[in-house]
Amino acid sequence: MDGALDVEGLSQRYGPMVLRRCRQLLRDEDEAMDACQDVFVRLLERRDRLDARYPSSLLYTIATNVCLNRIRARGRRPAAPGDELLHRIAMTRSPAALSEARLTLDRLFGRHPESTRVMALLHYRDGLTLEQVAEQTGLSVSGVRKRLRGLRHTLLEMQGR
Amino acid sequence: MSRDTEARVPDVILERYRLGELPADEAARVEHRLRTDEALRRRLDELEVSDREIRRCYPPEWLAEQVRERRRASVPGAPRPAPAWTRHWPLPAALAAAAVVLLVLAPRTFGPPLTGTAVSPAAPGSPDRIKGLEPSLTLYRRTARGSETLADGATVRAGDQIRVGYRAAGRAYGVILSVDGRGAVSIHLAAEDAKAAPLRSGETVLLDRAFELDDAPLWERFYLVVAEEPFALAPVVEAARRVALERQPAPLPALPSQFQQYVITLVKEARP
Repeated sequence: MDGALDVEGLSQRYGPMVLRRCRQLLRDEDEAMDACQDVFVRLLERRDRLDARYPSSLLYTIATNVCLNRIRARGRRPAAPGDELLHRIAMTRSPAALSEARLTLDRLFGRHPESTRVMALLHYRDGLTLEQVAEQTGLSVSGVRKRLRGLRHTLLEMQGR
Repeated sequence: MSRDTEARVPDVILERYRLGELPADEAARVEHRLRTDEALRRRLDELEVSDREIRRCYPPEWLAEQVRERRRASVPGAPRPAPAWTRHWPLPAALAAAAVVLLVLAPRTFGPPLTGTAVSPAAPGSPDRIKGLEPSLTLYRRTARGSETLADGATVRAGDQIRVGYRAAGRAYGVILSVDGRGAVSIHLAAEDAKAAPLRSGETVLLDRAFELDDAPLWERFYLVVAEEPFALAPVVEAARRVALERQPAPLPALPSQFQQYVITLVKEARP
């Protein structure tokens, strides 16, 4: 036990889900397992936020965030096709972003809180509805809608310049 | 376009459905889809298979220990955690599959184990060698606390989990293979087209997968063969096969002069 959490029980129940998410985003087995361990460490650190009903929700969100940070840290473009959106979302704060598309996203996402990246990934890449994103991230639907609407408005403004 | 593609249930929704952690209305929607959507049922089945594979490769108690160790290390003043690779090792079944066994020779009786020789280049006079910057082969064994480096001649036993690393030191292409005491030749690093793999530069490069030693007797000998130009795998495998058949000591014989090779022999602990 670590604090009030049964780490072994959590690993047993949620480990496969977390590792699959990390594999899906990182496409590297070693890095995925490394990230998977980070996810559980962060869960221990945030155990006060753990929803007793739906730990999977928080774990999935943490895993997404951990992987986005890692993709951004390694900085290289993923070789696998179809990862362009993931990569751009992950790299939104990279100072090395040079392409117009990436600059646009940098500026776009730079105006929004960090968690917006996770919401954007869940909605635009993973296909969750606004309601599902809200439920997944623990925000209200209106809050998610507002953020994503804000992103769209920002994008339109930037495209109009 | 399949129905599942048209309105795909997101992975996270399916994951949470399996865990029984969806709100009731969301879970009801998934159940409704499952009644008529074969592709969705197939995805569910695939998750079951994946669960088993992951728990076999990374047992929950092991994962929990890694997490606790990392958590302890994150406390200010605590020693830094080991590099990622030392904290996780796929388990036997998956690891054994990672090494592609190209050739298994007929079992035969071998003499006593060869005395381990230090990692040694086979072409010491090669003009492009730079002192202090030689390609090298390194073997690591998983331990309860992480890993340990195995020196040439180290004693190992069946069940030990081994991970292979190399340092290219500027060489462009290479192959890593091993021969065990039964004469089985296993390829650990090669390109998919039966040629040497392009080597990665930098410090020691770890191969993606570890593997478990089986109960082959006497020894397990690892070779790193490098060259500046691409080369075919077959002559190297043939040389390894000959070594196994003729019980010759390392290094591999009859390799053309453009090759350099490095060998580490692990001695198998005698079974009672």
